[in-house]
Amino acid sequence: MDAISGLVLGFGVILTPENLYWCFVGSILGTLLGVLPGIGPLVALSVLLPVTFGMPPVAAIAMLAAIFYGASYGGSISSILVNIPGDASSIVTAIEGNQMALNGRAGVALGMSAICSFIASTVSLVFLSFLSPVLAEFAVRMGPPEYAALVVLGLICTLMMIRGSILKGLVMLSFGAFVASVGIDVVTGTQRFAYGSVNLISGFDLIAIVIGLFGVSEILLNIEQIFQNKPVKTRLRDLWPTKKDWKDSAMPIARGTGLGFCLGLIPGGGPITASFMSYAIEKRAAERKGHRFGTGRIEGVAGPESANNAAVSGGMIPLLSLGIPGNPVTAILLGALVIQGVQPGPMMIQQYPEVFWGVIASMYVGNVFLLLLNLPLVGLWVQLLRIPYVALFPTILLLAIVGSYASNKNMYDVWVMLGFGVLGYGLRKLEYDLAPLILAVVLGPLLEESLRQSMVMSPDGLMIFAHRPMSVALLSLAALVIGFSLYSRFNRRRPKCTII
Amino acid sequence: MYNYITKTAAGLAVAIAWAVSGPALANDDIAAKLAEMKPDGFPSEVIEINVVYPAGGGMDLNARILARVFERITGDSVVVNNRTGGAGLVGHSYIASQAPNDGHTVGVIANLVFADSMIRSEGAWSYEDLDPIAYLNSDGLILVVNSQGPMAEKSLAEIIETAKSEPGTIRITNVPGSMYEYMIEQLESETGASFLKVPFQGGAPGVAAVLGNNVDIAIAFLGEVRSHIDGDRVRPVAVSGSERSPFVDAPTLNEVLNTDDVVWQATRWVTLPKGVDPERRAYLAAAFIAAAADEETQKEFQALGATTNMSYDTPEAVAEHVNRLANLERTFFENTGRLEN
Amino acid sequence: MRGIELTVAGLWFAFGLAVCAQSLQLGLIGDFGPGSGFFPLISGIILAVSAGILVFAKSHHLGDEIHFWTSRAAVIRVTTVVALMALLILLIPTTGFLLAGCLVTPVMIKTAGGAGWPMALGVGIGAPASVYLLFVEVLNSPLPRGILRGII
Repeated sequence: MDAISGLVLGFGVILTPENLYWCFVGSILGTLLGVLPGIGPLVALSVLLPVTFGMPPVAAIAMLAAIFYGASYGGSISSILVNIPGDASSIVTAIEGNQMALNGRAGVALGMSAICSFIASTVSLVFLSFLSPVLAEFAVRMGPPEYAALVVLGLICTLMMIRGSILKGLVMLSFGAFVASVGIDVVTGTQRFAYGSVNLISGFDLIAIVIGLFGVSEILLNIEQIFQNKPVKTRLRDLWPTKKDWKDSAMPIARGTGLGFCLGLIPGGGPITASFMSYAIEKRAAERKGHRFGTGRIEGVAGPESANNAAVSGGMIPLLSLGIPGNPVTAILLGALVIQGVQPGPMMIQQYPEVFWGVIASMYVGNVFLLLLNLPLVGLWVQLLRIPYVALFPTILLLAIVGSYASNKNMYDVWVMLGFGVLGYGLRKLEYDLAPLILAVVLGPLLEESLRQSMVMSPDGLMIFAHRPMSVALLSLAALVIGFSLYSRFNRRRPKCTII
Repeated sequence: MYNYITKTAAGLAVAIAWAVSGPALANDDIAAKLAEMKPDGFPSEVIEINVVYPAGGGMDLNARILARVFERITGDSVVVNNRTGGAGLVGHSYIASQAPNDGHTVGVIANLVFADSMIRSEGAWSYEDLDPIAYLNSDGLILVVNSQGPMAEKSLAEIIETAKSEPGTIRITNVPGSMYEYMIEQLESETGASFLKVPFQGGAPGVAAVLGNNVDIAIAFLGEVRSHIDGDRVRPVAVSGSERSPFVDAPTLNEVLNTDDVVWQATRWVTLPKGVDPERRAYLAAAFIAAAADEETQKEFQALGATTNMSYDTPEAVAEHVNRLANLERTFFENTGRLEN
Repeated sequence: MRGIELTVAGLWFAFGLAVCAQSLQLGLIGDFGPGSGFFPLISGIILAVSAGILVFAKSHHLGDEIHFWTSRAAVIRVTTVVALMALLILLIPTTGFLLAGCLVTPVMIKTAGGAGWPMALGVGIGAPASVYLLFVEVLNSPLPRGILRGII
């Protein structure tokens, strides 16, 4: 069955009142949950998974996918408006997006975020529809050496986005790497830095870290000024992106979509890495044109948001074609499919074509719903800022507690959240950039695991990287990036970047 | 308004589930018996089924299937909690030592609890603090090779030969600290072969690796490889259970090795913390056993590739089986130096 | 403010050294290539070296100065919020989320937020209640109930 007839079948399946209803419900539920600061796509999916059990397969997956897209978008809303990301993949959106809100352009940021998400999702879904089998083959050939090389490339790219003091950035990076290594060493199964504590053995939960580091610290920072001028001054000057905004965003959207899709394709890659890398790339591109990031540049929202969404679609490819979930979200979708009696994998497209194409079609539809739902609501979301902070911050703190508790039902995670919250507050005041920290927490384990797996597999140590063509290509790319970065540093002083 | 929509959603979901599970109406008499057994005032809140692995995984799916049927036949509301962390250690510790024993906390666990109890808990709690009440199923591991790779035509015996004559060249997937590792170890010690054990975090990444020819043999549960076997991407070479699997055309490890003690499978059961009130315990035991024996559950379990066994139909029988499995594993740990005698 | 930066950098330096020490104990060489302690050792080294240079720089008054404290009142507010949060989290297992929230949140609003009693009580009870209802009733995702088990 070729893609066109498949899509026709899929749309035929999804465009029934029942399936459309569930898709719609999923979009709303997802967005509402995602808007809650501290509640991101993963928590939303875990919590709403049971609701889908009685439903037929296409409706169930359509709803879950809609919940996921909705929650991602909701996470961007809270990132932009209150600088509190719902999930690690909205962290970078908060950087420029919140600045835009402070400049009175909250509506533009929200609108552009919705539109970019839509464009990126749709375009990457088209790739998904037509290139799924080919791409799946390609993705599966990647082994540990390729992953390691890819993570190295990602780390190098994102090192470019260290703001402020380089030394402090390194401190954050290495601390993040340490934080990620607490727990069980996956390669040997032994405990590291756990000192016999059952809780420390599981390490630190990423969601708890993100909520604390970015959410709680943000609130503490705002509490300082709660009696001074209103913390968030938003003039509803613009609600709609201007022509210039469109022009500025065009390339970021294109780059973000391509980058995100490729990264999502690879198991272990995903929206988080994609959004960080996109931010780094856009920052570079903007600086070459003479613009400074950190002041509310729309490229910093357009790029990462596109990358984020494209990565989700990319991640569906290994899931649907090979039955391999690349990240926790697709793992939940996999579970949902299995419990419906549909085994994702190479046979899925033959045995259950209506489910396969129905799911893909539902993602198109879900994205359309989100766009239609949220664009008119931009004005409404911005009104959230009118709520007095005195009432807002305790609610956010309560939600933060629930959000960190929800993943493992363990109060330990809530303490982790508080601890990282206080830490994040202190670090931000001392002008330590938190982005390298969270990046190291996410990428560090991936790098270590892939590197050590490669060493195990390799008969001649590190030379395995030289033997495999794809890793050679990726590492050369990383070297090029370093070279280019050094070259431009000698030629032109990088703004806002110092040693001390 | 929001509340209304979600309630409608939930209501519709239940309605559809009810419609879909029509034939279960035959269980009306079971439901009636359970209603009789139900102690007064119990349950006074939602019953919490704890699963120590993440949502969407094999254990989680088993628990959710069971939960759904349990709800149907008892009318009690049940929620599945994924208490993850430490590869199961956190959840196991919780059920064994911290969970309240008023009957509202239940665990769905597997024989993976023994390693946690005997080694990793460092004496803080033991599997004997748990009270098994109902048997669910068991799931053997399957060894597969890429059907177009270098091992494509070889049988397991031939592969083992190669591993003996050229030690360290056959790459096999391994999950350190788990039954995968124990099985490979036993295989190696029984045959003198030596594999190159590439570490992964679970069966699924290992399957991805074998599909890409990054390893030669992968070990996984049926659920993780079934679609690939059907799609002729991988070929099963052996199963690790005590008998051949009806779903997979491959010999058991014991057949290949001419032994009878190489048996590794995941066995799942329902457990309570020790010390639950006898009346509540009896009710829960009866309810879960009935739920596990239900037609729908059996069908779903088999669809997931697990083997069910109706002979463990009382808590005592389950407990005996569990203890037997524990002792087998303890012997293995002692023989391999992980535990002192 | 120099003092604070210096102290913090010093703390990072000490922490980095501790990480290095522990990593050496974990073992650097495993069966094939790096052992458990290898990568943590590298992070520890980078941490200690970067922090060490920072200590040197700050003690020699290089680089910019940072204003840490804005005002005494601000410090008190932030500390209050952190302490109350800690109290809240401590209480949750015993009294449950709902009760703990209703007890601590009004205090938080009154002291750190500086609002009057109506707002403090209104939001202070309304917020925990809404969050609780949302998650426990609507989303079926349980929250700790503590002593209120059996009542709600």
